[in-house]
Amino acid sequence: MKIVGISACPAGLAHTPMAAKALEKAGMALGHDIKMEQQGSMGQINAITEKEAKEADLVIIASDQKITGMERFAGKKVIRVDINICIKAPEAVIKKCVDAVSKE
Amino acid sequence: MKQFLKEAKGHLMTGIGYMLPLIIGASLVVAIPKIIALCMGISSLDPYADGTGFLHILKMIENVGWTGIGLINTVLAGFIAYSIADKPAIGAGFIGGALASSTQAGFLGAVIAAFIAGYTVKWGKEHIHLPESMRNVMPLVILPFLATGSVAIIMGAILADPLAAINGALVNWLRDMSTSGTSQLVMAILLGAMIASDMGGPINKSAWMAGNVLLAEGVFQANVFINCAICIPPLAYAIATVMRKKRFSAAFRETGKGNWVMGFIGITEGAIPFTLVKPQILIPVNMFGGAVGTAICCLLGAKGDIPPVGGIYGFVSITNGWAYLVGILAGALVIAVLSTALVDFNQDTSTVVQDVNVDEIEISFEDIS
Repeated sequence: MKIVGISACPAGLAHTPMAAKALEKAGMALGHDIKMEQQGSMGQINAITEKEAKEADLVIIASDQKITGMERFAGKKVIRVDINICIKAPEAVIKKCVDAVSKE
Repeated sequence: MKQFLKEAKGHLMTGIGYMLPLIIGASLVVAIPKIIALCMGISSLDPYADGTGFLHILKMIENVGWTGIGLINTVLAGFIAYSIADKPAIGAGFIGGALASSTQAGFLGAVIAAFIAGYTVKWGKEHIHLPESMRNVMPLVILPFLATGSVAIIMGAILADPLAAINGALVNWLRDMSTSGTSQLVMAILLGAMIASDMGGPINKSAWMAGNVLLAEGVFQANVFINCAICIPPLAYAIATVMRKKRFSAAFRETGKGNWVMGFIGITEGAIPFTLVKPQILIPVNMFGGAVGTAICCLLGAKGDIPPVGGIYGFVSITNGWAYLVGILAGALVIAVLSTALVDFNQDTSTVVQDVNVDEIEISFEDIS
C-alpha cells in the first residue's frame, strides 16, 4: 500500500522526527511504501508533493495539531492518530490504519 | 463533548506552539542586557530608562524584549483562532488576545476570545450560503467582520469585567502559592515529578501547559521548576552512559551522546529509549530524580523574575541561576546512580516487545473538503 503521512507536535523538536522515523521504519518492515512529512519547528521537512499525495492510498496524520497543506489530501482517506502511540507502537498503528482502510 | 475537548486541546496546543518561539526570543532579549548589567554590578536597569550612555541602550534593548512578552496573549489567541478556522479568524483572534491583555482578562480571556473568533468563522463557513457572485467577499469581509464583531460584543462588552475578576483572583492565588515557602516547595516537587514521569506524554504535557498558562499571566516561578526538571532525565542518562559504561550496550552509549545535547537544550524525550528498557522501575526513578532536582532548585532559591528560558543555558534568565544548575545536576546524578544500580542497559529497546493492545489505538477518519 502507498502510505503518506505527517507528524507534528507542539514544540516540534523531539516527537515530530521520532514519530516520523518510527512510522517509516515500521511501514517498510511491513512491506508498505511510506513517506512521512515532518511539520516541526523548522517548518516542513521531507514534504509530500502533490503527486505523492495523489498516488497515496492512505494518509496518516500523527498529531492533534493544526496541519498545514491538508488540501493536498482532498478526497483521500485521512486518519488521525495520537503522536505518542506512533512512537510506542508504530507497527500496530500502521496495521490498524491499513485494516481500517481496507475494510471500507 | 469528548471529541470537542480533544479538538479544543489540539487548538490550544497549536496556539502554544506558535507562542513559544516568541517567548524564547523575547525572554533572551530581556535576559542578556540584564546579565551584562549584572556583570557591571548593576542589579536593575530601571533607573536608566531616561538619559544616554551604554546602560540606557541596554535598558532600551531590554524594553524591546518586554514588548515581545507583552504580545504573548495576542499571539496565543491569534493562532488558536487560526488553528480553528484558518486565515479569516486570525485578525479577530489577535484583537481578542490584545483585548484580553488590556482588560486584564489574561490567558483565560485570550483563550475564550480565540475560541469565539475561531468558531464564529467556522460556523459562518458552514452555514452562510451566498450566491456565486458574492462568494468572494465571504473570507475577506463577512467572516472577519462576524468574528471581530462577536469578540467585540462578548469579550469587549459582556465578559470583560467578570473575566478580569476571575483571572485576577486566579493569578493572585497562584502567585501566592508560588512565592510562599512550603507551597512553593510542594509545587516544585509536584512539577518535577510530573515532567519526568512520561517524558512528553500527557502528564508531562499537562504540567508543561500549566507552566505556559502561568507564563502568559506573568507568573514565572513554575517555569523555573519545569525547565529544571525537563533537563534532568536526558542529562541523567548522558551522565550514566559515561559514568558506568559497562552497564550500557554500544548502541545505548551512542544514544547517550545525543542526550548531552537533549539535556542541554531541554528535551525530556531523550530519556525515552533508556526508560523503555524497564519502565516499571525507571519511571519512578526518573520521577524521583526530577522531584529531587526541582526541590533543591527551590530550596536554594532559584527565582523567576523574568520569563525563564528552557534548557541548561536557561540559567541566564533566572535569578540565582546557580541554584538552577545545582538542581539539574543533583537530579541528574540521582537518576544516573539509581538507574544504573537497578537496571542493566545491555539490551536493545528495538527488540523489546511492547505490549500495546491494537484495540486501544484510537484512530479517526477526517474529511477534507
